[in-house]
Amino acid sequence: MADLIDLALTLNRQPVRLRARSDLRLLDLLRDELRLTGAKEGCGKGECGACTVIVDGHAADSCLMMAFQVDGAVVETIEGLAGAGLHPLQDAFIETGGVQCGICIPGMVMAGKALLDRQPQADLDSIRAGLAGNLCRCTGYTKIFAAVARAAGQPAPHPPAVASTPPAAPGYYRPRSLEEALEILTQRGGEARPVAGGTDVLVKAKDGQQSRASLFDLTAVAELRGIEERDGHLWIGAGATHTEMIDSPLVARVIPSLPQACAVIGGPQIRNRGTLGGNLANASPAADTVPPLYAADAVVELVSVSSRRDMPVAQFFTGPRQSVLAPDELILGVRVPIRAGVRGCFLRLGQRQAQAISKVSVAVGMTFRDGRPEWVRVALGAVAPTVVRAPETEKALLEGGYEALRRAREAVKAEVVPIDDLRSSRAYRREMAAVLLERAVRRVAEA
Amino acid sequence: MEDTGTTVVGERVRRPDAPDKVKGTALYIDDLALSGSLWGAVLRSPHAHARITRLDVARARTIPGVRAVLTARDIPGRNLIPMIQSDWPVLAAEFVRHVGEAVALVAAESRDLAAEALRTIAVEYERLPALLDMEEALRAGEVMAHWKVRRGDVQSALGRGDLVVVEGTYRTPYQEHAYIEPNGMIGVPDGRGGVIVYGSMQCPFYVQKAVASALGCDLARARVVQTVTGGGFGGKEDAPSAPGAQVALLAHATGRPVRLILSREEDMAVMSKRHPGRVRMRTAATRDGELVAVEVDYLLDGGAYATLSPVVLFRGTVHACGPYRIPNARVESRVVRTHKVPCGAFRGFGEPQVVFACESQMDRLAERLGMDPLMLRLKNALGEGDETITGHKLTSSVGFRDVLDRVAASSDWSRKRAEYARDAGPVRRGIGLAACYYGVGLGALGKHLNPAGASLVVAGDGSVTVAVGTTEIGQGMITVLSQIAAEALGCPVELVHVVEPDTSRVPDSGPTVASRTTVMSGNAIRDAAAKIRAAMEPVIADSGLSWREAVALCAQKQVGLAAHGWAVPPAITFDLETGQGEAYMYYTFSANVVEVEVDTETGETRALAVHSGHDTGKVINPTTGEGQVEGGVVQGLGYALVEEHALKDGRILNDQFSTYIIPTPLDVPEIRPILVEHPYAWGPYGAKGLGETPVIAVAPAVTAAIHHAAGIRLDEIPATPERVWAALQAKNAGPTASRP
Ligand SMILES: Cc1cc2nc3c(=O)[nH]c(=O)nc-3n(C[C@H](O)[C@H](O)[C@H](O)COP(=O)(O)OP(=O)(O)OC[C@H]3O[C@@H](n4cnc5c(N)ncnc54)[C@H](O)[C@@H]3O)c2cc1C
Ligand code: FES
Ligand code: FES
Repeated sequence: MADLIDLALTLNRQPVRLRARSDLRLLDLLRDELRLTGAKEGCGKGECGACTVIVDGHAADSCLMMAFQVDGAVVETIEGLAGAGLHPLQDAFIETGGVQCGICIPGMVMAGKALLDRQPQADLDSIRAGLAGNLCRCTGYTKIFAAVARAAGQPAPHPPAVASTPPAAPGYYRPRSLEEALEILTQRGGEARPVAGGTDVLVKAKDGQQSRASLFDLTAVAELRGIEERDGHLWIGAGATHTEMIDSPLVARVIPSLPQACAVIGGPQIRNRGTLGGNLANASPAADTVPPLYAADAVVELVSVSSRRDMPVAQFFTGPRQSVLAPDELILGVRVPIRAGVRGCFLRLGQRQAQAISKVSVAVGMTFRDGRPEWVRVALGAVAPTVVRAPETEKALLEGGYEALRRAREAVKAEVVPIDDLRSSRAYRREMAAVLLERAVRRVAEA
Repeated sequence: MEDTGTTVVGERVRRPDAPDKVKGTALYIDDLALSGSLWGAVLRSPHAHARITRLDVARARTIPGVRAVLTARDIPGRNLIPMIQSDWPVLAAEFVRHVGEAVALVAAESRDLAAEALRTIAVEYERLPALLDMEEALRAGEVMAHWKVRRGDVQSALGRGDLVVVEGTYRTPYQEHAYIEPNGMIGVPDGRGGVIVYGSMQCPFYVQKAVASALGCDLARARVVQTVTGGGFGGKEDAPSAPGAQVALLAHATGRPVRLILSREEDMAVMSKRHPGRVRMRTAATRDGELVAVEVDYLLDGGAYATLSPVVLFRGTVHACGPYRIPNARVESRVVRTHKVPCGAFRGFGEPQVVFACESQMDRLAERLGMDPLMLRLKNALGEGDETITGHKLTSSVGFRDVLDRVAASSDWSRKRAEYARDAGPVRRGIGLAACYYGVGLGALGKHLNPAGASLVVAGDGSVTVAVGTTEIGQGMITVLSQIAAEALGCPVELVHVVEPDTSRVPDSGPTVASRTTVMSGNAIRDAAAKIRAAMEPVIADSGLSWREAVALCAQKQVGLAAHGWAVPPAITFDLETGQGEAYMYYTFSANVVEVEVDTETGETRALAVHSGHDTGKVINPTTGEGQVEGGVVQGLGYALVEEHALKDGRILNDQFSTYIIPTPLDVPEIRPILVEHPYAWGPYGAKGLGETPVIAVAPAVTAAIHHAAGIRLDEIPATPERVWAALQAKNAGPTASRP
């Protein structure tokens, strides 16, 4: 059963305090409790972006957030956009004819606003990327791009919103420290499940595989946040979002394939919310941050009330959707050894250019000495029950040169055990493992 | 192009519905909050074919907060939705015939309670063998409709021996409309035995008939009001009749407003789709490329109930051979009944399947003849004075050659055809062409639905209320009809207000389909406007008054300014036995040039550009016109490259946007809409209509471009990387550049 909880947030520049059921999504809070029906539910699974709002400056799918996750946050919805007149984006959508049936438009406008707030002069490529998490079935997008381009560079009617109300701190649902969070995990007899970005767990909830009433939030837990250098290692907190990893020069230097992987995950809304910890805990063989971690000898740090343990990433996963993570444990973060001169590349094939899950992915990490490979790591996703490393392939590549590459291609095909599923076929995946491997190695070698 | 001398028509007038939509204040069905409303939900069959041996709702009815649980036995009226063959039950009675078929309805105080009630209903099935394959259904004789076209003598032409003959078998998949707003309806009891149904829909008059039939009440007691609708594309033509009737039953039974909003998964599993198709075709031409004979065997998978399948098939049948002069043609077409979700209307309406075949044949033929595919089309293109395969002589408004010339010029066809052929390396470009024509309106089979009405009321301040029976579904109807009303009345377009369609305001105006809205509702508006002008003229004479002054003067002289308009299209005649006659009133013409890039190692195809040309008669509003083209082209690209459903035991496996893939902003190429205006005399200001052609001839242009790029023929879409790669393997032209 859901509790009633107190929430406080800054909504469209106004302080809002209310009491709401703990199992509501942000989308329900907006639409049903606050009667702000501009955000639409096109799918409820983070796929269409029709429910897009801006949370603390980032576009987010409100169908994939719990209401208690915005306690203390600054939330902007389409209803708050216009000032005395329409926002330049709204004007531009009207002027260019970017609106047809209109159901996607509030989400498009909000995604466009989040983009222009950060990148006022966005060009066409950035506009496409910025809207990649939003589907429109009417317009073919052309006039929508034109609308955002037209608004680019025009002054916004409001200064950036700032928090105007302190959080109500709904206790149990939004712990602020690791200690509290770990306590919660033990308290409700393993019933309580954490939610971070919500981009996996709320999809499961929609499918009835997870009760929303038993979720509590991790995003306010300070110990899970951050990306930093610690004792000769790169440390990435489990709460780091894909966007934060893309933006971090440190990550790019130590594990170059990781931000490349993060950059192709979902769309902007998914990357803004989805976390490294969630990607690991979800334990999908197609998870895109995982091959880079394999290809960098990363170690996963696990904590519970009573213990702390480190797990090499390859030992963390035990099968599809299975890992060693115990019900009372949290992933604290990931440690990656810093290796001088490391190069890396991540490549994948998906069913389309955005909002896609990998059919095959490859991460390569290499160092060179005098132009010859000195250290090689190859990991592949979506071609086996878990992400796998390919030791024979690595061995072949160590020899260097084109002949080695040819043998590596053959080796990798023998090292993967793909399956047929909705997304692709076994035969195709096996061949593509070789194609992507070669392309990734060439890129690394030519970098 | 003739100058129509218009002032508002032809302008890029802003959409009157856009401001509310960009502000988020437009109210779609799920945004309406009616106090005291109940949540409706539907119990659905898990089996493709079964007998219901037990259906016990007693326990569900006892749950506190559950206000109604209804089965087929509780339907006061008729348990069949009125449609062409009226074979579709509102609720399954004895048998279920597809996965997802509605078995029982509940209305409860909350969403959770409604879900609980569904779980509590005890239902047992005896599973029966299911027909899941269309060829098998054909062998079993499960034919819902069979049409033909007989022109000339195909047999003897094919026997001549001096002709070049190409043949192929082509397969096309299900396509999901994928409107971003799932279907939804709200039923409100009117307190006098009837129900008002609000909802997302294209055809209020279809829903009205379904509601009245299920309740057993007069049509006038079944009032249907369309709410702002988040996309349709045909998917909200026939299919909403089911939730419309269901929500009305629940509202009637409970005496309370009831909302029935489908989830995305439910919508994808049970609402209509584009029919999967199989086409066998033989095309014969002389050695210099003159088409002589075409033979077509066209098969569609209709699913469990007929809905609109017979008319979908008809359109495909008469357009099967493309916009070409063909002296001998024989078309045999059938739609069969299977135990799968009923397929229905979808933009293009039976054409995309057969046009994929026909245009792929043209590309093959060009290759065999060693002829440029553009030249082959130009040589055989229908022109004024020519006859279609149904013997319909086209006397005016045939802009096909113009369209071909324009897309060729826009794409720099000849140069790129040569340049791309020289691409080496793993990633290669290609350029391809395909064309189609489209008979506008409901045609020979839907004549009785053809007329349309409009009501115009001029208020004292000069503002004008326009009510029509066709709907705005995003395509821009409100904008275009406002322009026509303003033009015909001579009033400022800002003063025209097109109100939401309501069956109580205008007579049955048929469906919003077949690109007929501009022409039919437009003409009805012109009819009404002419009556109003006729009333005004004697009062205002030549006084040079402004519109508002003229209206004020009429008010002073007690002249009423309101009128009903009615449009009935010119009669057409057609013989269904021979397939000869005027299948439709008139035609629009279209051609696409598509440029692609094929990664021959991965099989991935990326569309680089689409030059999309359309002769749609007078363009009432270029912005909405371009929008229709851009949107249709991207749907066509989805159909060509990624969209398909996978089924197991009749159940759709990919029922969400993460598994049913449609193009995102990163997947769309540059699109150049090219609107060619060959005016059509009976159309308002020469307009012909433009909703559908943009989607039709995209897929065959894509596969032709893939052939040009990579030398492989795909007779089945979508052209997924897996399929392209397999074809490349088969051709033994796999990775070349991968060798060191
Ligand atoms: C539209 C869409 C597209 C997507 N595209 C991709 C893609 O391209 N590539 C890809 O890899 N993934 C993709 N995903 C999946 C998802 O976004 C990622 O897996 C994401 O990283 C999950 O992180 P999260 O924080 O949102 O997880 P959540 O949903 O919050 O949590 C997922 C699971 O992890 C647990 N969990 C979260 N944090 C911790 C922690 N610190 N300790 C222990 N357990 C924890 C939760 O309890 C839950 O069981 C996509 C998802 C969607 C909806
Ligand atoms: S409703 Fe589709 S992303 Fe949220
Ligand atoms: S305008 Fe209809 S979905 Fe975008």
